[in-house]
Amino acid sequence: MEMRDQLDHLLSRYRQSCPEPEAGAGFTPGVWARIEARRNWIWKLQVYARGLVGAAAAACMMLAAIELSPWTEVNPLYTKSYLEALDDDDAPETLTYVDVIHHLDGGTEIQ
Amino acid sequence: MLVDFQLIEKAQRGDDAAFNQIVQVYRKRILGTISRLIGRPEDVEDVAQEVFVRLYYSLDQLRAPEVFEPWLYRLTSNAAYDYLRRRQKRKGEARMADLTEEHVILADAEAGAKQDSQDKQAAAIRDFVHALLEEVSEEDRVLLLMKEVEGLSLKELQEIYGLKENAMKVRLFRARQRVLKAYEESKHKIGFIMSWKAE
Repeated sequence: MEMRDQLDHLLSRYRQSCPEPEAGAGFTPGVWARIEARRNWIWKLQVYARGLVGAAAAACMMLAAIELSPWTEVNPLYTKSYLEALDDDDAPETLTYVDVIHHLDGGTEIQ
Repeated sequence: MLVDFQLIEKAQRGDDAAFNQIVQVYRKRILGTISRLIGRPEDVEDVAQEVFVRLYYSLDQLRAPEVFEPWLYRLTSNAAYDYLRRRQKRKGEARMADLTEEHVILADAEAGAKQDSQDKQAAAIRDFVHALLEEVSEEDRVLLLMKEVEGLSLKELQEIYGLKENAMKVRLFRARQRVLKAYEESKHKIGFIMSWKAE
């Protein structure tokens, strides 16, 4: 007998050798118990998920209300554009820098 | 089909009595298939119950009642696969390579001592085939058993797994080759099985 045929034969013997199990009396009630258990679990998950979504929505609305409220002061610094801010900048560092060059040059007037 | 389409549609609409009827009709077939797929009588009922629970929660995804049986087979093979994977992780069971002389002698002795007992021989065949199937992945094991032992056609397997015919053939061929190789290496150890064949 060919090896393949032997394997086929073995597998068919295997099928015959496997017992045909009968479902016990508790089989179907067991299925329903598991369905119920999972349903409870899914239900709990849905409740938590809904709670989480509600809390997130409330937080969003609260932040939006704070943002839009007339009492919230807007920092004037951030209302300027970059060029406006540069134009207005008369910070002392610029002067100090010029001053340093002035000294390094041995007291000569550069400008 | 063991049930009519209306019953499936009723179950799909949430009719628990209809679902109960489906369980009653199909449980024997599913238990038999799982028994052959997992080879552990003590866990068969548990896996079969899981199949029906999955069926209950996935019935609404069933496109048409006509494909109910492939769908149920798919759930069955998935549940069996999950079980085998869990068991493999848990126990790291002996592979065919580890099918030691001791293992075989034990089975041989068992069968030899009680040659009159077909039950013992059947148990030896089961053990031997399970050891052979350790050579392939759990997924291929389920696929191979579905084809070779359950007798499903390529077309049915295509419906169940959603694979193309060629891909299915290649996978089955490779799995079968591996099992065949393992069988070739160890067939000398199972003379009692082949002699039983002649009876």
